[in-house]
Amino acid sequence: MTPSAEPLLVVRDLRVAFGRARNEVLHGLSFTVGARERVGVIGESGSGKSVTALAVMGLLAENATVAGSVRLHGRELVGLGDRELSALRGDQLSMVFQEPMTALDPTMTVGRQVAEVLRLHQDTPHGTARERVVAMLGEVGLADPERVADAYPHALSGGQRQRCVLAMALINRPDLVICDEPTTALDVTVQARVLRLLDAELDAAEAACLFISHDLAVVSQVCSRILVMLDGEIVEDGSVGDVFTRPRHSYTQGLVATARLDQVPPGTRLPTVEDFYARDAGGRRGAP
Amino acid sequence: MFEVSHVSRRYGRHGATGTVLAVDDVSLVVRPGQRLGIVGESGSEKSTLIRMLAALDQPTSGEIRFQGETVSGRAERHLGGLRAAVQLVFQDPRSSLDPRMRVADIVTEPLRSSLLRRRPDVPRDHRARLAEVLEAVDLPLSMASRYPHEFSGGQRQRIAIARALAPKPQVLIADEPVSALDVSVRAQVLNLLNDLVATFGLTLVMVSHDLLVVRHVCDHVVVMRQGRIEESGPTEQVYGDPQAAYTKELLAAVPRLRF
Amino acid sequence: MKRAPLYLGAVLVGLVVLAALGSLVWTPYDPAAIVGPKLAAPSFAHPVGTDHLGRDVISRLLVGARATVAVGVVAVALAAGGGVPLGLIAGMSDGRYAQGRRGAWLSEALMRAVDVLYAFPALLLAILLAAAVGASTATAMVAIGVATIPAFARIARAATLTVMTQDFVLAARASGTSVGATAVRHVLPNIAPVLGVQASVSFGIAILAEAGLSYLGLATPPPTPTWGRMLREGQNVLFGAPEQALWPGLAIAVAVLGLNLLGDGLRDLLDPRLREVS
Repeated sequence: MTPSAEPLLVVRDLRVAFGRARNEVLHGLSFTVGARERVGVIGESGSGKSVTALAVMGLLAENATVAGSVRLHGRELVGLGDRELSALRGDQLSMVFQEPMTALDPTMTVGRQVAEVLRLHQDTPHGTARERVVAMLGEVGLADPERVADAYPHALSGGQRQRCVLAMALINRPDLVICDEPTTALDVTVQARVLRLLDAELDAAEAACLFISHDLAVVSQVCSRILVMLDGEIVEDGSVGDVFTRPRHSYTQGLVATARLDQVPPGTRLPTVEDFYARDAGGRRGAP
Repeated sequence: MFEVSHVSRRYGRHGATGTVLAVDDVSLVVRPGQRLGIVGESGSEKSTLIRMLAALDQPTSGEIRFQGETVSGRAERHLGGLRAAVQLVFQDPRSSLDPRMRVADIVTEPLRSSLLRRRPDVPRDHRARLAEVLEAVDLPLSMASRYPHEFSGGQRQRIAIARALAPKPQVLIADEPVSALDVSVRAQVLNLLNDLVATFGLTLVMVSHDLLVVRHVCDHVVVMRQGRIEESGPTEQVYGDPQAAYTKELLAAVPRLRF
Repeated sequence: MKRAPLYLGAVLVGLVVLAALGSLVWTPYDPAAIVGPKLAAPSFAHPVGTDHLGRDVISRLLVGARATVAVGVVAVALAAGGGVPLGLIAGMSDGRYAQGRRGAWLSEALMRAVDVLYAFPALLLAILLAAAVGASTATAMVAIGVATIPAFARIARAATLTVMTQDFVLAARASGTSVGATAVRHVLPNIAPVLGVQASVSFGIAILAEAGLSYLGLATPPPTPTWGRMLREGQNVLFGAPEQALWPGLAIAVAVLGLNLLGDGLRDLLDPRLREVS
């Protein structure tokens, strides 16, 4: 792998505020994602993890003010116009959302939606689009991809839909795939399969991944590095092994302790995040 | 406590085409003091089953008995005993509390209902009972005059638990009590449930899709799939030595910390 | 500033109500009396001029407000009183709450009955009533009220169905709360905001309907002035004296606008979720 001048994605001092009151929700985030690297983002609701993903994709609402720097392949994304960003989205940069039902247009067949993404960014001579769409649908593990391509989203199961969304996200072999809680809405058996699929597809596409979740175990299936977010800031950044065995920040210690249900004898008291990290209304404190 | 015999629930009109068999010939027993977990994925109809246990839905065939008496198919006015003794905690803390009622009124609603009001086993002094249950769930009494939207998800779930405890029930049925909560709050609510069940000697029936949660809280487990019971038994046994293929698949699919 | 629509609406509606109530006590002139030259321009004596018969326009406007407010209030009360219970019962007989109990047929029956009513527009009812007992304010009220029942029934049913999907309704049942108590304590307070908005919208429509009916002579008979009939009379002299139609038209517009603003503002005001956290 040829070393590049700078990592694939470099985020520096990213600040996002909403509304006229300029309520800041991200307070200066800085992190990098290298080529083919898989980075997980862990946090509870309100920590700002989804906002981060949307900020990188340039998908924030109109009333959002973004400051700081987000560079993809050395190119600054903050401040780019929508036309230029649209050229990147689906091509170099793609996103997988949590709720497959709303990510898919219910009035279009799945095949057409995947084809749309393909045609937007690649030269597809007449007739070849369908072939490639069906091939992609087969690649993501859908049995009978021809039939699925002609089906509408509501006719498919949750797992099937999420595979279609993955197909759309990966068909142009992007360099970075951002996943926002992609398996949270799925059954646990389906989740296991989709995670394995994601792992394989990311390898095949040689893509990097930013994987957002509240579930530590899920993140550890796919990622090699973890960022822990709390109240709009990154409080921990390290390899999966380090974060789980030697967490530095007390909040992370709490999260890891509370996630290890299998370590606690049944019926006894579960460790809570509060045991390690207590917060009051105004600021934050360390151990209680 | 509960005896469920060959219970089925079919949706749709009698004999018409297009009926759906949701719950299919389920039989189980819940003993006093037991902590029963019901696990399954979507489509397992586990929620339908517990609604029938609580007489919020009626089976289309089969029978459910509570403390020896038949409760399936009975009219509402005869269900006072069941309603006083069996209370529910729902999954979504946002929709299980009436947004237009104050917490005090929400929590004491079971005490004021026409069916339960005059029963001897239901507390009469509403204010005192309100104070008792709020303390049991670790919420200050001063919060009682507020509205649900002023509370976090975890706090709302505790309010829901307080409401369930108000009429001094014997059985607590919890439908995915922590699934809608943030991970950092789940442990608190689970600890609370554990404590309350132990303190008040309650029988617990808990539905969850999260096998680790069930393993932690329940001593017996029932595995459901598409309306049928695949396997049942003591938790350690089912988890340690699963017999059914589906149970093995479920257990294998649980994501474990990998590093 | 967010409350501006509410305040403005309240002011506008207040003006109309004040005009109506005030006119019971005092008007500058007797609205039926001829007190000046015909179609006189605004002057100190007659701030808005006189109409085609020489009657003071302002006095007629003030008294006209009475019919407007009265018909609006009674018609909406009739519509709500009839429609809301129908919609509520229909909504509660259907769906998850009622599962395990027979009752979906009731919902269907009620809504079909409402549909039948829907087929009779206020105009038709007003004509029928006028033919039967002679046109009057009362016939207008009844006609408009009955014709608006379907709107309330449908809105009430839709809102009720939404409320019924919430777990707290199931929780109420598990607590032993009876169907009636659930309807009164849980459903009504939660559908009230939607109904309130519907009421203000219907009020506005009722006012317009009354104006139309009195324009056609199917409501309050002369000489009692109503804004609708003043519009009609203004139409006759539209080319010579356009302002005759302007004033009653403006009055109607102000009333309807005020009601819409008020409805929206009240709905937001009454939602505990939007109140400041104490």
